[in-house]
Amino acid sequence: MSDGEPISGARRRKSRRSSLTGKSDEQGVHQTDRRRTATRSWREGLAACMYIAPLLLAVVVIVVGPAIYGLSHSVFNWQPGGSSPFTGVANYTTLARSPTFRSILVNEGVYLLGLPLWTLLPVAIAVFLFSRVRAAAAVRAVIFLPAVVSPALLGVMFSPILAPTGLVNATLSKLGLGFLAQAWIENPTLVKPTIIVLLAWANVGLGVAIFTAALTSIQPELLDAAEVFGASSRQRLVHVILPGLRRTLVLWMTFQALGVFLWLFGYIFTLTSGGPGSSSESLDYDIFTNTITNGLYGLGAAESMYLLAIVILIAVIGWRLGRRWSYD
Amino acid sequence: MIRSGSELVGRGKKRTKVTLRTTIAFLICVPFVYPFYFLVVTAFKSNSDYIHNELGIPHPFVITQFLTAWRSVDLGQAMIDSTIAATVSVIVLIVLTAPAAEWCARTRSRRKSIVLGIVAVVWMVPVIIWIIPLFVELSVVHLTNSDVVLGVVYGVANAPLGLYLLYAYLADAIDPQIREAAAVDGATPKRVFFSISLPLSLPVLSTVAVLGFVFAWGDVLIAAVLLQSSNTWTVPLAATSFTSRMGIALQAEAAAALLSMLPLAVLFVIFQKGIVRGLTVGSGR
Repeated sequence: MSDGEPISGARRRKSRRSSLTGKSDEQGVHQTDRRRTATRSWREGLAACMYIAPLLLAVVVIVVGPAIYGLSHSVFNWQPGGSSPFTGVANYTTLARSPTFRSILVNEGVYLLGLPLWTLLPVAIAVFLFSRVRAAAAVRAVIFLPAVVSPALLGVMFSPILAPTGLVNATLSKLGLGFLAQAWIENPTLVKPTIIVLLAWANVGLGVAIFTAALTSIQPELLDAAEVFGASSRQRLVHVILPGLRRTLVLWMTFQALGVFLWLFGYIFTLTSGGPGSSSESLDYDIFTNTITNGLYGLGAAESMYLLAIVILIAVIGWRLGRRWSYD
Repeated sequence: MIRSGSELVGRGKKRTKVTLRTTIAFLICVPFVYPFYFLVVTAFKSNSDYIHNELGIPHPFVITQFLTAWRSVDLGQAMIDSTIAATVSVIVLIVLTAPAAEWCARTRSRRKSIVLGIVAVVWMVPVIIWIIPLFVELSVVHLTNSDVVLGVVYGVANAPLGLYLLYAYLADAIDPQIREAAAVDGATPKRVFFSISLPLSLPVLSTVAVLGFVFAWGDVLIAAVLLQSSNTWTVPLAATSFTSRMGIALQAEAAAALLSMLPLAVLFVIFQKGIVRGLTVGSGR
């Protein structure tokens, strides 16, 4: 969903590409404007500062500055308030050799296996609700509910639901499936799949809303044409609807993959505390315990660096896939 | 935004097919309503009632679970703390992003994309990467354990959302010709901002405010790092400290969860449309 550039019809140029890339539309068009306003430019600059400086200052002081400050300490034995000797890559190698760190990377890999489920489920429901279904809007509203409740509060909410005598097991035994009852979050092999399903449950409403918006933007003429030429509803799905969703699909999958590294903390902190053992721990949770709980700030900084690298990698992959799939 | 997609299916479907679809649509809702139903009925059950009546209506209705949850972690204090942090965050969010969005919508300068880019960084960088060093810095100047500081941090953390929603709206809804006309009539940019942009963007401002409040209320990561002392804990921290204790009855856990989500439920009911639109735009950007 690209933000529309604020260009009135008269100023819009013919070149479509420049408006797609969203930059340098001003070059030729505004040169005359610029000359006219050149004398006032410093005043406008000052005025601009009053509008944007507070925001930029806040972002630099609270986010960008601390991020650089912290990451730069990944090569020190960082002890806030004490001396922090330079240790080179020691923090990085300590992590690479640590079995806990490796098992946490494995955890993250396992969480990523939820990606097909997190994608197919909202696509299927969005396409289904987009065809003639009564009260589709009401259904979308109901399944959107978890998106408003944050990961942390969902974790609090699911602790009685996933408890040994909680909702899931009680329902199973009511249905005569009592033998399927499990210790969902106390069992080291089950806890990650449980969280994957919980994430699917939590995110499906948002996904349906996003895919519905994408479906709405598919040109109806395309579908009508397909129907006129005798395409079955399945053919229309495969050849018109799904290709029309490609861009959103890539965007959504990138978003979900990033989520594994950005938003698991809330669930882990409230639901499992990383346990049992470290079997459900995510990278951000481990950084939290290493620094805030154990005071290993240098190690946490190096771990943050690994995390940042992974996040950038996923973002780049998603961006390149999106670009290739959008304009071919 | 959402309209019926009757063009996707051929006309003249049989009645049974429609019934089947409606049934499936209903079944889709079940897993989303059921946990909330469970939460409500469980929170009103006594422990002995739950043993043989896990899923039914409480018999008798009791509020002891709420009292247990309320008293043992001081949820009341946590609600006050959360409200302070969330309110401060909304004010900071609006004050920071509304003028910036106005400038981005008004300017023809290429620096606009730099501003939008810098703010987007807040979204890209995982919170844990900047919140730990920020905690280190804040502890030096003794600004941790403050709900107001927490609120300011929330406000900045949500800035991308506010900026993009407001900017998209201002750029779209307020034609440059309106600005030019106002300028010709002698209105200063400041006047345009306060007399045209702000009043016109009230619906989006309220969406931004609600989303900012919801995020601040639900966050646990920033709060867990910045609030080390339990008497400043926000609701998710207090609730977690309660539910993660050993030997807490799950009925009391349900009550704690319900109390924590209550303000969000109220906001969702009132502002549902705006929230859905805001979150969809915010994530699909």
